Amino acid sequence: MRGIELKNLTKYYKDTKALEDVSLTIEYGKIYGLLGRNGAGKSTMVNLISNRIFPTSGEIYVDGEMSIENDTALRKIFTMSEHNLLPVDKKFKDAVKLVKMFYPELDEDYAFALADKFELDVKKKLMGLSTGYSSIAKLIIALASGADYIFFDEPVLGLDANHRDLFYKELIERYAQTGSTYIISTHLIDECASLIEKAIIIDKGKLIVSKDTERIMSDSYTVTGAAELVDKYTAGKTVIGSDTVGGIKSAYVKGKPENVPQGLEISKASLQSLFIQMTND
Amino acid sequence: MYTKKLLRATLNIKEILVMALMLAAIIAVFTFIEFQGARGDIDDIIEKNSIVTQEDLDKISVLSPAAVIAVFSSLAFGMAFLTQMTNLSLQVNVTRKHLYRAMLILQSICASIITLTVIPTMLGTNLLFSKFCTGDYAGLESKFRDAAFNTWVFSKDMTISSGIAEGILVMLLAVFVFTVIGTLLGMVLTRLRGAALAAVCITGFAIAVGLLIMLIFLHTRIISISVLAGVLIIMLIAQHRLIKTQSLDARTAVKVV
Amino acid sequence: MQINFESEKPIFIQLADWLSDSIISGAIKEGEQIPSTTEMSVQLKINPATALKGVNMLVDKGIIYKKRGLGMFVSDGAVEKLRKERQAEFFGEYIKKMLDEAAKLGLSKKDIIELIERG
Repeated sequence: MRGIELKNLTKYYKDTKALEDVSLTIEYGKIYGLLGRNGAGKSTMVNLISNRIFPTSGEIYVDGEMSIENDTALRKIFTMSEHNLLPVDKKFKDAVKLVKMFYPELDEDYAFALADKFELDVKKKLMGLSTGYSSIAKLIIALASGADYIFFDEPVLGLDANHRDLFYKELIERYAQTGSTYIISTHLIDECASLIEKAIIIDKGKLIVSKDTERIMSDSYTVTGAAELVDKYTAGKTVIGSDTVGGIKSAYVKGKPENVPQGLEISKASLQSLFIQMTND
Repeated sequence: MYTKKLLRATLNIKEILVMALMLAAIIAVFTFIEFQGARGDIDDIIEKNSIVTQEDLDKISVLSPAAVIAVFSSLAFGMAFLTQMTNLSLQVNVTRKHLYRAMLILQSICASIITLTVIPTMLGTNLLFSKFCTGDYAGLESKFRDAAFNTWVFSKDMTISSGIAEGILVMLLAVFVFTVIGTLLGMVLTRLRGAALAAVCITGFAIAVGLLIMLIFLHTRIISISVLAGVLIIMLIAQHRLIKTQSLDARTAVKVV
Repeated sequence: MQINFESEKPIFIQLADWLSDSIISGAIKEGEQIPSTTEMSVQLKINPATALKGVNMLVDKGIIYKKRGLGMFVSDGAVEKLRKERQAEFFGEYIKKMLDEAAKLGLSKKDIIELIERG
């Protein structure tokens, strides 16, 4: 069984529940979006899978093997996060070689080619890089790593619009070439909604949904119009949430639109708006 | 295999050699200065007093500033390397087992460097005092021997060979203390949660400090050294077993100890 | 080509439609190769699996076929097939919508015909 499986994964920090009883499967070879609000538990989940912290209870399996403190299993995972864990006095090109010592599949040529595209000076020391370029350095190494499961925890932090665009394009190209599993943990949901095949939504430490992005979106729709008209229409239906501006109301409804009266407009619910509604207090 | 890789990735042989040579040079210079200064002090003592008191002896410094420099620089470097190595292990997904092994090796290297730099100091001091008992100051040894020489573990025989023996003992002490402190601090610095070695190390550190205090006040070297050696062996076995079991919770750690 | 992420239409259908448009208009001729799914997904910043879905839809319809090791090409007779399909959809897609809108605006059938002749 190829993939990462979480079984009843729970993590407590003293009395705080960072992650509660999360069970899900990450299939090999797909692009996942790990979506959640600040403090929802996304980083906790990524850190647990990467063996950086240990669960309070529950199990993690990588390709069928228990992964905690398991070298062979952990070799298959590479994680890029906000933490700068590589020696900061190393030049970028030396940092690449350093990582290659542990990830022999790392494609150095590809890493340098990418650095060129991003205009990253490979001779620069990691500590001399700006926030944006620090992220770029990390994501280049992650993309080049050759690991089966690559986690990107907020990869575009500090990146300007052009570099974000370039990152997404390079990610898709690399994914098409290697077929590895990419898990992108981010707040910028709309930016990557079309990129991710599956979405895992976490809120307050709990798993809200883990499904094909398309299905999440096709499972619901937006109905907009005069507030009373909308309310009349949505009576008896499952409403995920709503926004009201003036007298105009937009309601996010589960299911398919039926018998829509005149005066109401039906449109797709964006993943971001669905997300906001699902994770609002 | 990963242990070696971690060490290779963190330690730059060139850097270490340069650092060791630099330290050795600084210490050699200081030791020489101390040596000269101490000779002057001893001459003063002999000229001024007929009875040599403990305070007089204490004026002759045993632990030269050089040794202090050596200890603190090695400590600083050691901490830096440990932090770097731990962070690296987190990034490249190397399990704790390899990290702890590498930490032990790294600390032993640092401790050895410290000891190697301390030995000349002690050798110098011992050589100095052996000179009292021969040549220029022959016959005055009784004046010094009467005063208790209760600093550290220095031998009353004041010969070169006992200086070396003392040096080895200091190395064992240094290895022990630094293995314990280093592992503990390294883990605290890099936020390794659930690391049971922390529990073991705190205990070990407390024991070490207690023993040192005992040593200083009791002067009964044989007993304290055997106890120290005993604790050292227990600690190393405990750490080795912990690494083997890869156990990461405090309860198991205490059981192992 | 741009993907409209706001649109009701799923992305893979938008992609299929765009390819169909290019084929009907002759921008990609019968027998010619279409861009690879990788190329298209990179350009449009969409998941390659989505691009593949759109392409496969056209393969199922016989508009495109795969040449092993070489890529994907427009089938012979694709243009005819697409035209027929579009003609069948024409009523639902355009005419009905036009009639609905006209009704909203209070235009009669005679008004509509006048407008058609104008255009």
